[in-house]
Amino acid sequence: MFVQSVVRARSEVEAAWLVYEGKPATRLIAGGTDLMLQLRRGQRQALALIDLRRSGMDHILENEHAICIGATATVAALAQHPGIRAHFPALHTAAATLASQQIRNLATIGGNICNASPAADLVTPLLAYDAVLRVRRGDDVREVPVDRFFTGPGQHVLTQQDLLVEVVVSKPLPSEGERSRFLKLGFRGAQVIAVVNAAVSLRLRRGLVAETHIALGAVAPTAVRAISAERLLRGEKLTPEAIAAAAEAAVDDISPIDDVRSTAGYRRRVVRNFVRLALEEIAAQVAAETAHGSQRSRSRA
Amino acid sequence: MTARKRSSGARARGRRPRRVVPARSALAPTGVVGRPGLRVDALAKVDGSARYIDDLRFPDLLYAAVRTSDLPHAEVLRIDVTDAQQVPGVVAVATFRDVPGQNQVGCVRPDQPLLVETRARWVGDRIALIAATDPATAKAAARVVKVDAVPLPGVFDVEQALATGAPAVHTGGNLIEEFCIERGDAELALRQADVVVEHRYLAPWQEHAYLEPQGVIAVPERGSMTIYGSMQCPFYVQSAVARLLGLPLSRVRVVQTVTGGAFGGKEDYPSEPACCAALLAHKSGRPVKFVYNREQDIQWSTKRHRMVIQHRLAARRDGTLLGAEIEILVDAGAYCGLTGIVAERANTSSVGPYLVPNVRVRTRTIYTNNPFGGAFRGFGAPQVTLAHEGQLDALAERLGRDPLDLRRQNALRPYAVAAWGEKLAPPVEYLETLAAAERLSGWSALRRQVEAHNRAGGRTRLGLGVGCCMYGSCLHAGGQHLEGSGALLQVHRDGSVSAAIGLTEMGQGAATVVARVAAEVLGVAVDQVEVLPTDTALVPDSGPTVASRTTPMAGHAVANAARQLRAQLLPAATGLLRCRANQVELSGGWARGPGRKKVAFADVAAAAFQAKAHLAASGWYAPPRKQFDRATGLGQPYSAYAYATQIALCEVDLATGVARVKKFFCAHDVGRAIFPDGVCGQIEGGAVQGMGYALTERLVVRDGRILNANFTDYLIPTIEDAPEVAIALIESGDEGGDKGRGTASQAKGPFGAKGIGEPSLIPAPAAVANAVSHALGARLTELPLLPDVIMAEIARRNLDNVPFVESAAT
Repeated sequence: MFVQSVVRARSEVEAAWLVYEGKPATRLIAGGTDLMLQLRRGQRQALALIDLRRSGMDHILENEHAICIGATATVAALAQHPGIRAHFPALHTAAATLASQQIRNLATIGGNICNASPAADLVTPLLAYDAVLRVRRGDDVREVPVDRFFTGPGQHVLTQQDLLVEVVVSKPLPSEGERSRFLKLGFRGAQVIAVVNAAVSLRLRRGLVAETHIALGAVAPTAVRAISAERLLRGEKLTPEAIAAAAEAAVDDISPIDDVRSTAGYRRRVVRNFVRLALEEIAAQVAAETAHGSQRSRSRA
Repeated sequence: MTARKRSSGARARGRRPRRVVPARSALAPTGVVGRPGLRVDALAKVDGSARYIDDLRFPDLLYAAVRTSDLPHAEVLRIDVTDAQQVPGVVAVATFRDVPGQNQVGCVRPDQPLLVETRARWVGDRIALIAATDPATAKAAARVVKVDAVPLPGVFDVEQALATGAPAVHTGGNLIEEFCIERGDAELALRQADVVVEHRYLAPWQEHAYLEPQGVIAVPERGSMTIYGSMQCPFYVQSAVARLLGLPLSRVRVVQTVTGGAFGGKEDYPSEPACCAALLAHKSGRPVKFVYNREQDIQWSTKRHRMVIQHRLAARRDGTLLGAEIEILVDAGAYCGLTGIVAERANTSSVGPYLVPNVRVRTRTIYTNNPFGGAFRGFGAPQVTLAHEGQLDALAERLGRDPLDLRRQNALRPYAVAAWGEKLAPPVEYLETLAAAERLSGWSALRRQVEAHNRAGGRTRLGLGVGCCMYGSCLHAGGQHLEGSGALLQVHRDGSVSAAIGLTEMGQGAATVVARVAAEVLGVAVDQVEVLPTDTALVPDSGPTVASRTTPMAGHAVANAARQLRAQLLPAATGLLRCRANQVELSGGWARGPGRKKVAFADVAAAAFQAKAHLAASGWYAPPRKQFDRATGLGQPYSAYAYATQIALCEVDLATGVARVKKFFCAHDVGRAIFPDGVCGQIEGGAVQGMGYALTERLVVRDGRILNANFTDYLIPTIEDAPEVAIALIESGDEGGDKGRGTASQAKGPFGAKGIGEPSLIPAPAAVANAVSHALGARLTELPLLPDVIMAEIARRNLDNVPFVESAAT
């Protein structure tokens, strides 16, 4: 099966209607960094392509409550955005270290999500931040929380008529004291698919964990939240014991497999260590800030 | 002696290498040799004007596709190509029945048909070839070839292949041949030793990962065939195509196109795509292009041989080596290819640059249904070096000795007898490389630093590892009939020079070396010399471009031709300068006479042309004959030896098992650096390719099929993985010859140069494996040391139960 036609959408509306009226075996292309390879290797088929690159959906808009990221915003644009860097450091790190500069220049956030790879680097931060995906069908727009978007490797809830148009991440209030981390394990320094990735967000209130999201990638059919680890941490102090217990618990929240990249056993060990590492880093950051803050208040007094 | 040093990598660019050069030598070059400068092909490669095979077009060009076996081992009952022939756009379909000559591409043994007749022995075996007007049609037609095949049990492990009752890949069993070294009494030495260190090493396959995949175009004319392509050894391709088509060699011409990397992967293998294209071109009467994509290239082309090495090393308590017993199993894959030649070098190199009086080595080559083993930079040496250097570090650890010190104690010195019984003629520069690497790395201080870091605990551990090698330069005695090498030099009437050689530029810098040698001898500037593409019609069969032999062999041939031309030019120069021949000096584009008289080289060339001088010369070089006994593995296997010591500083992350090379130090005996920037580039490249082999490059093979035949999952190092590489060059700069009674000659290249292509890689995997082993305090003997492998060791000893972040514990 070879691609017979390519249609270029000139606006979000046009893209949405092209998709809505698209024939079977039509696929969307934005950066093409996954799709072109999949077509060549016969892993996906397409007779027609709808090109979204000129559809004007590449905005990154920030207001006081949220950042709205157009589906065709490139990974490079995400990495450079000061608002994302300031409010969503895990998303920033994931974007800045994804693949290589050449791929970041082409690849889009929408593509990274809709390709639905369990190892997608942007997805774990979006899970950690409770992102919402805006999906359009013709003129109707609905919102899908990211944790209900994926159904399996390469699979998600969108139908042939649906178009992902925007990703919305809500900013935490300054009083919520949110900290977050992204960790990625690839087997070389750059341009590598994650063997495990992890994103952790955590809010402390009066020294206790008020809320935490621990998202893990490449260790289950979709990226997953480590629900039992999160439950163990809520209401606790970030002590080494609590951290270690959460890290052990996270291993039970995943279902890794052996594949060409690595083994299930290895992934379990790394998940345990990554959860501990991310939490230890956050605890160290909190400790440093507290020490700094109290020093400052002393010097003021 | 002078010294220069250079570091490179992402962090430190532009520093010079440390060079150890004799102050004055009779043959010291005066011109461009040894000077900084550009590669002659640099600009064309940077600005995109270099024409690779896929850039070339011919009228009526057809595109080839192959139908390969779906099964790793099968009896093929029937091949039906009628459907494929009817696909619109298909011009020719070929099976074994269409071969006019011999259906055979085995480069040493005739065990490999180009096209399957009745038996498929691995998943790369070709069943039918298609030529069509576009690549997609050819591919679609290949899919509809019908093959009736009965699967046979396969064998995918060398040890199992040797067991009785194992499926036989070829009639006659799976053992292909044996090599050995028998000297002294190794058994007795092992019995009487104070210490015996024994380990089993596993050196896996490695993919060459050259930037440009395999590719050829075959252009037919009535009764003859011209092949253009990306390759290392045009004369191999010429012989293979002539045998397949039943043509005399004179009717097969092979022209090498600009070649984007080879590393051994374009030594034997290009004969296969060339034969495919040639057969289709013969059948269709039209030019046929066959260029692989990356997946095909990785799936079908040869790999570094997988070897299993059982190594026992015996020593006295004081560290003196007494004996070694080494068993090497080499996985050839389904066909022999160059396996015997690779095994011969592995066999000879298996003891290393050490004085070991009692040696027993047995190397066996074995058929399996696995991927095909072939030539790869180092040619069997990196695998055995992993073992002998692992053993030296293991012994040092056991005896509580400094690893460099233990090597120094047992090092081969001038007039010492090597494992294969050869008394080594000086100079033997091994100790110099040890000393240079020690200085370059600041060894003692660095070791103390590493120990302090590891005592402190925390998330990472550091380790230091040493790797050393002694590389037999040029072909083994077993292949010395191929060692002659030619060149053709022509001086044009404007003073410009054309040079053709029988060996090839494949990215390693041969063209620059050839231009420099010609320029040095003729006394012209480098940019006056144009190096032509290698063409079998221009220069006689010069053997293969392998074994780090291009600088010595092509270099000598070019120097030989240039000296002849010099003699042809001298009468014109003496006429213009009005002086005697011995008063003329040719250098830097000028002919200088007594006083301050000089004329431009171009004027000399014009005058010589007017005087009807013969301004072309054919150069030839063949090293002296070597005596070697295959039955005992004793004698003089090589013409000269190049020594190297490399040191790796590695860091292991206990949270993930990821190992990284932090710093890398290389000390190489290069004889003479004709093009120092090129030498350093090759050393950096070889070292990093060796690091990839040690750390990240894992070919996932199941039932003979490669599951990660792509660069997404087969991980070669990126610039982010390349550490700072510091280099010391040791230049003894002497062409050598027969000196020192009772010792063999040390025949080196022009100006004393030794090849560096392979020694740059050979010790690197061993150094890295030793460094990681040092960091973990455990001997890791199976490559690659991917994080999951390292993590297994970390998990076994619970080394990751440490606080990863310091302040979190408080």
